Amino acid sequence: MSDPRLSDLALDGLWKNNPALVQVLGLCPLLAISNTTVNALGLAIATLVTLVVANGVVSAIRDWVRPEVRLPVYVMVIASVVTIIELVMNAHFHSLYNTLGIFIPLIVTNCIIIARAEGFASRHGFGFSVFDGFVMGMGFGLVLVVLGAMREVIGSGTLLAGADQLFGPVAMEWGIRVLPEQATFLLALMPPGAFIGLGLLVAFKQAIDQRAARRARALRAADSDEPVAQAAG
Amino acid sequence: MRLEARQIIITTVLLAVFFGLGVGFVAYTHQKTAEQIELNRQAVLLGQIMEVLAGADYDNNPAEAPFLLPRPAALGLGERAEMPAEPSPAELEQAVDAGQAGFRARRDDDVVAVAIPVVTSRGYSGDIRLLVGVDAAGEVLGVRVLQQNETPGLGDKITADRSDWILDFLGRRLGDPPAEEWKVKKDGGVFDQFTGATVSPRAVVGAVRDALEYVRRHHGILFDDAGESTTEEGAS
Repeated sequence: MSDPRLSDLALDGLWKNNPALVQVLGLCPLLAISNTTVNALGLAIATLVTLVVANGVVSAIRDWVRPEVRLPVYVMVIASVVTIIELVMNAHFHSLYNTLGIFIPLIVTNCIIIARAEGFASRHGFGFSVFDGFVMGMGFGLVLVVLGAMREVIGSGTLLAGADQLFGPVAMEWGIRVLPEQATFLLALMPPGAFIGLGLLVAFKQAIDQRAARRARALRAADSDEPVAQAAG
Repeated sequence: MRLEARQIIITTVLLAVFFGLGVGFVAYTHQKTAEQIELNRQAVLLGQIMEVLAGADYDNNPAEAPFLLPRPAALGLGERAEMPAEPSPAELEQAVDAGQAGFRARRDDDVVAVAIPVVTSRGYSGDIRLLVGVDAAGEVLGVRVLQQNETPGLGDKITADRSDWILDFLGRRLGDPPAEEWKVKKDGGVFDQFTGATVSPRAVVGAVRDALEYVRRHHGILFDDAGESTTEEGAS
């Protein structure tokens, strides 16, 4: 298989084939944990690290794994990586670990990870796989953080509240109040708010894509008109 | 046929090697982080205990002075098969992990206050787990929510980081307010409820009252009234 271009990979992961907005994978953690920016950021980083490491390991062992048993091996790789991340978080980011709770072990079941292991890392070199894991993780994480920020601002009126859970005592004062408490809209914090928020983000991406497509068409049309115009001039 | 058998064996061995490696890495990380995780857990526990015992004058580390609670079911903590007179350290640790242990704050070997967990299932969504600090006179030193799943923005105002409501319990005891007023205002009591959320505060008020009644009933054991501070539960 020919090597893909890094810029294509990046565009794929972040935009064209975004795991959250286009592939719509990993919805369970995406919707459940995006009620504050800090929670979203914590889970985004954990998922990103899992994706990078799992992709790297799967790519490195791809020549030794027989096709019949590849899925059990990938699952085992992912489960080990997630368990290790869970232990490290429990040791070094204890309060965030307590907040994210069950959703860290549940990264194992996030379909993005097995999808990238099977769909990309098992067929590409180590470097490309790590890069793919990174951009896919970024694509997923950015959506998670944007959704988290949206829900936190609308639902609680704050932004980055509790940042010290992730960044330590220096971040104690990072949380800011954007809206007064009376002006908040509780629905945003509840599960329906998560679905509505994600729906809006998907619609927003579609709108941008369609506008870009229209503009490209208009540009092509203008291009083909141009020689005529020149001739006339 | 022979070839196939060989394939299967090779694949199996390969699979076993990968699994062995996976287990090895996890075990190594576990070993490296276990100590820090235990320290974190202790620190969190101590922080919670110190919050509910604020104001008490003690000189020990209550997190290191756990004791088995008699009749834990009365606090909604589940049943325990039997009550060993002299619990081993392992049994104590198990009780702490299971949330069935209380903690004693001592001053010069006298128990001045206890922190006890209480669980209520009368909340809006799932169990609410509280830690209540009570002094020897039966007065509330502090209440904190350890675990809850109430509606964000409504019922979760029972937690200290969402509102100051939980501080209303400070200095209360059985008799202040009188028993029939240990309720939320909506039920004719003295404690506020929240706009749009009565169930969660009602559950917490009930649980704190349960805890105080429990302390009164088991005062002898909890405060080690028999005197010998070296033998835990000697009087029971």
